[in-house]
Amino acid sequence: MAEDSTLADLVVRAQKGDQDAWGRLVERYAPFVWAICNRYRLNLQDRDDVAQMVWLRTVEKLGSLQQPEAFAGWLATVTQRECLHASRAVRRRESNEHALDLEREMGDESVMIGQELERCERRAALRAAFAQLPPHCRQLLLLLAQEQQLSYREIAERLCLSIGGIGPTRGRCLARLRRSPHLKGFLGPAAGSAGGGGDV
Amino acid sequence: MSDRMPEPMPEQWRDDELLAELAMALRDADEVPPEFVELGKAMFAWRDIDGELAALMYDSEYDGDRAGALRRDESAPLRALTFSSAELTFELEIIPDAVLGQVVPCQVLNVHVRVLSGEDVVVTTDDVGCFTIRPIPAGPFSLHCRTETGTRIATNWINI
Repeated sequence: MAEDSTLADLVVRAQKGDQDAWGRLVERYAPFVWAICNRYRLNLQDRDDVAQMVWLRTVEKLGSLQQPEAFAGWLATVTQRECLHASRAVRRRESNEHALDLEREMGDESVMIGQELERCERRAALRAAFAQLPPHCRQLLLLLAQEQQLSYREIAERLCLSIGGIGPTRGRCLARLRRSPHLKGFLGPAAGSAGGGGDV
Repeated sequence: MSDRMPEPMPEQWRDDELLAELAMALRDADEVPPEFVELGKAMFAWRDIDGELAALMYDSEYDGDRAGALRRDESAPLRALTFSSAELTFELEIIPDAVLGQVVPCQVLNVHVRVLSGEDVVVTTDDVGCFTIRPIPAGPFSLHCRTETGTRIATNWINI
């Protein structure tokens, strides 16, 4: 319940003019807009233009959005539309075949957009859940999550833990993470495979 | 986007899967430049709660789409847009160097071209309601006016 009600709550507060709530909505969904820009292979300038239009249209829409829960779906539609617009502009500008091919190859965009949205919302929920863990859990999981894998020995040294204690602590911290209300409904079996395609 | 997730069971993620996904979640947030986020936050300043919206009714770039999207017709860059409110309609046509517009029903009024830089331009319609915006605004713009009856009307943001 936490995730949905939080989103609805943020939307309602933003509708009433709460700048802080708006900022949190943007923080939460900016990775999604960024991911879709990635898919459309837009350059940095075009990405900024897309983001500007997406958020401008969202601000404009906010007042008439009847159901706060519809926010994410609406944002996804607008983001797709603005990315498409930008990639067409690229095509006109450079009159190359690249963008045309891209449009063809992206055939079923709405499926891709839906998957990205799902993934971004899940990861935003994970970040929110992570932020609420106790410091020792955050420190350990952060080290375990590093791209360059550290050995248990290195981790033990950094955190002043016994090597034998790392495994059980890891298990307890992940169990805590799993129980976070933020993650309710987010850790399905399909999630891992859905993430496989687009980790660029 | 009706494909909501089936009811998932949290137990179905193993610890290493959960940790891997957490790692990517943290990396995702790092990947987005702070300016990209700030840009979005700044747009809240354009929140406009007064007046009546002239909403986009037709856009030649999207309506009757698909076939049009794949057409290689570089000689016809024209785009036509229609925005309507209860009281007033804006018909716009984009030509290479200008926006040609008309308000319907026709009336003489000032059309304010609102742009993000804040340097708005004002154009006046002629006696058949026509106006020209030249050059085309470089970024997003919207059209604002007050009708003969005093209603304040604004179009959606337009991005050429």
